[in-house]
Amino acid sequence: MNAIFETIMASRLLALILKETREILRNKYLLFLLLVPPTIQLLILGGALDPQVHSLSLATVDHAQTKQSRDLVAGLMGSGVFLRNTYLSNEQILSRQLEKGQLNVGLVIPPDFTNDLNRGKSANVQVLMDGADAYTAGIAGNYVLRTIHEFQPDTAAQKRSGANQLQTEASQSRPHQLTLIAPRIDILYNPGQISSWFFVPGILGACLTLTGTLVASATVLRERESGTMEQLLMTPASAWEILVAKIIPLLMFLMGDVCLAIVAAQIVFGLPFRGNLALFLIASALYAFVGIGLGMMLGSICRSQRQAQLASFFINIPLILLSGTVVPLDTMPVILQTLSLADPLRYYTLIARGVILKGETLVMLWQQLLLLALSAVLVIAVSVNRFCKQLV
Amino acid sequence: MNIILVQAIKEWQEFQRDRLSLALAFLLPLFSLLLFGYGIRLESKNIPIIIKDLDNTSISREFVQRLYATNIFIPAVTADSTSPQDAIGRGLAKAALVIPKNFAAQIFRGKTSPVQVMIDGTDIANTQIVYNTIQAANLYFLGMLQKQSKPDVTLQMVVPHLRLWFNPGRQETFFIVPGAFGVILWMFPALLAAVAASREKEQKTIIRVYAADPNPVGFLLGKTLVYFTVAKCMAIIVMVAGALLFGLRLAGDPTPLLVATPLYVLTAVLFGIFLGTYASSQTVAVQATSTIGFFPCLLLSGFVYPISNIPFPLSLFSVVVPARYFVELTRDAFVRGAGWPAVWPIPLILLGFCCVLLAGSWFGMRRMQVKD
Repeated sequence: MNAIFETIMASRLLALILKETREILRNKYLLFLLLVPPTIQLLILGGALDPQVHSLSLATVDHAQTKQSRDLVAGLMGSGVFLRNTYLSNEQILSRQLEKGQLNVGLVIPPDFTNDLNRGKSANVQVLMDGADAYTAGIAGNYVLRTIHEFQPDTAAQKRSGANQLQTEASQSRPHQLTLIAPRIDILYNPGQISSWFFVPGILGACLTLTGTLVASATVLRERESGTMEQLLMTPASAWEILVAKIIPLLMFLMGDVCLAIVAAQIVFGLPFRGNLALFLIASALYAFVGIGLGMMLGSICRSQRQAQLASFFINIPLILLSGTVVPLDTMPVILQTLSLADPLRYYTLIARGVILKGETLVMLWQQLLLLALSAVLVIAVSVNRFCKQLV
Repeated sequence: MNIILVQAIKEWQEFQRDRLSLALAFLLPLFSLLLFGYGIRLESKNIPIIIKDLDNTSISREFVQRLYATNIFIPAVTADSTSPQDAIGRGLAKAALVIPKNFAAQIFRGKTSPVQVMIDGTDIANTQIVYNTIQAANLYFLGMLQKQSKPDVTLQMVVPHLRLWFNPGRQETFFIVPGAFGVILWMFPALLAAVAASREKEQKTIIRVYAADPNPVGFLLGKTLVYFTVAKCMAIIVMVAGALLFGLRLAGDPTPLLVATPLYVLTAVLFGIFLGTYASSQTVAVQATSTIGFFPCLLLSGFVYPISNIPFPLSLFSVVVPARYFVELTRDAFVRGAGWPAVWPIPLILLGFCCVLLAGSWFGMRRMQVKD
C-alpha cells in the first residue's frame, strides 16, 4: 500500500518536473543564456584576470650615457615587472608622458652618475612613479628599490684598487655578503602562478549566483504575472510539490553549467583537479540551492520581474564582492570581513579552491561545507515559507 | 520631435509609478559605491605567516623581527604541533618560514645559510607580495649586518630617490572610487533601459508600436531620453557622494568629465535599449545585460586589475568595453589632472559607441515594422 502511494507521489512530482523542464527547454533564448554565457564568461575572465604586477612601462632619461647607467636600466628590465623601456631626451617629455598615464615609472639618471661611482661615492638617481594606481605603484616601487639596491656596478674605482690585495678582498666580500642568507622560496599548489587557476573556482560560484537568482525569480514571477499560478494550485499537487518541481530542473541545469565549466577550464587552462569530484559536486549543488532559493525569495517579495531583477543586484553585488572571489577578502575593513562570514559564496569559493587546487578532503573542509549546507537550508526554508503563505 | 516627447512622458509615468524600481534606481548606485569604495583594497597587510626558528640565536631572532617590522606579516594562530605545510593546506597561514639550526653559525663562518620559505600559491596576489617582502627584508637585514661589521664601507652604490606623483600617500580609494563611477554608471542605466525596452514585448504591446508609427526612432529616442535623464541624475548623485565620502576632488580641468559623463551614460542607456529590442522577453534582456554588461565591465575595464595584464587575444575583448575608456577618463579627472591633451580621444570613442548602438537598435526595430 505504502509503495503504491509512493509511486503516485513520485509520478505526480515527476509530471510537474517534466512540465517545468519543458517550459525552460521551449524558451530557446533562456536555455542558451543558461548554458553558454556562464561558460564563455568563465573562460574569458579566467584568462584575463591577473592581479600580479607586470607588463609595466618604463622610460629613462639617461644623462650619463655610460655603461654603468645602461647596466642599471638593464637590471631594472631584468626584474621582470617591466615590459618595455623607452629612452627619452629630457625630463619635460618624461613628465608629460607620466601625466598622460602612458608611463608607470620614469627614471632619471644624472650626468655625474658614473663619475660619482668611479670616485667611490654613492650616485643618486631619481625614480618617478605614477601613484594613481596605488597598489601597482606600491609593488613596482618595491621592485625598483630592491633592484637598485642590489645593483653592483663594476666601476673604475674597483679596477684601480685591483692592485691592492686587501682592498680587493673588501670589495669582493660585498657581493658575497649579500648572499649570506639565501631564502629558498617554494610556491605550493600553483608554482607557475597561473592566475586563471585562482579565479576560475570563484568565478564559477559567482556565475552560479547570477544565473540562479535571475532565472529562479523569473520562473516564479512569470507564473504569477501570467496568472497561471492559480491553475497550478487547482491541481491536486500541493504547494511544496510545485516548488520542488520548479527547483529540480533549475538545479539540473546549473549543475550542467558547473560540469561544462570545469571541463572547459581543464581544456583551456589546464586547471588541475586534485581533490574529490563528488565533494566538489555536492558543494556546487548546495550552492546552486542557495542561488535558486535567493531567486525564489526575490520572486516572492517582488511584484514584477523588473523589481526582482533590480533587487537581485542588491543581493548579488555584496554576495560577490564579500566572497573573496574577485577582490581579496583579508584586506577589507573589519566590519565588512565580519559581514562576509554570512556570505555563502565565501564558503563555496573556499571549498572550490580547496578541492580543485589543494586537493583538500572532507576532513579539512567539513566546517565550510556545513555552513554552506546551513545557508542553503535557511534560504530555501525562508523562501518556501513565504511562497506557501502567499498561496493560501 | 513631438513623438519623442510624448513617448518620453509616457515612459516616465510608467517608470515612476513603480515606486520600488524608482527607489532601487537611485539607492542601488549609492549602495554599490559604498561597497566598492570601502570594500575593495588590494594592498595586503596582516598576512598570516608561520615562522619556525630552529636556531633561536640573537641573529635569527633579529631576522624574524626584521620580517615582522615590514608590517606585512602577522604570526599565524596555529598549534605548535601542526606542520607548516599542513597549516598552509588548511588555509591557516599564507606562508611559512623555517630558519635552520646553525643559521647564525653559518653566517659567522661566512657561508651561505639557506632559509626555507613556503608560500601558498593559490592566492595569486599575495604570493607576489610575500615573495618580494621576504627578499627585501633579507636584503635589508644583510645590509644591517654588514653595516655593523664594517661601518665605513659605502653599502649602497646607487641611491634611488623615489617620488610618487598624483597620489603620494598611495590612497587606494583614489584609485578605486573613480573606477567605481565607471562601473556603476554603466551597469544600472543599462539595466533600467533594457528592462524598459523589452517591457513592451513582454506585455505584447509592442505590436501597437509596430503598427502605429512608421518610424521607430520616436519610440527609441523617447525611451532613451527618459533613462538618459535618470542616468544623469544618477551620475550627479554618485559623484557628489564620492566627493563627500571619499574626499575626491577634481584635479585640473573639469570639462573632459563634463563632456564625457553624459556621453558615457548615453552609451550605457543605448546599450540597454539595444539588448532590449533584440531580446524576446524581459528575463532574457536582463540576463543578457547582466552577463554582457556586469562582469566585463567590472573586470575587463581596468577597474580592479590593470588592463595591461590581460594577455593578447583576450585583450581584444576589453577594447569593446566602453567602461574601460571612461574609467581612464575619471582617473585622469580626479587624480592625474592632465586634462584634454591626455584624454581627447575618449569622448570621440564614446560617441562612436553611441552611434553604433543607436543604429543597431534602430535596425532591430525596423525589422519588425509593419510594411505599408
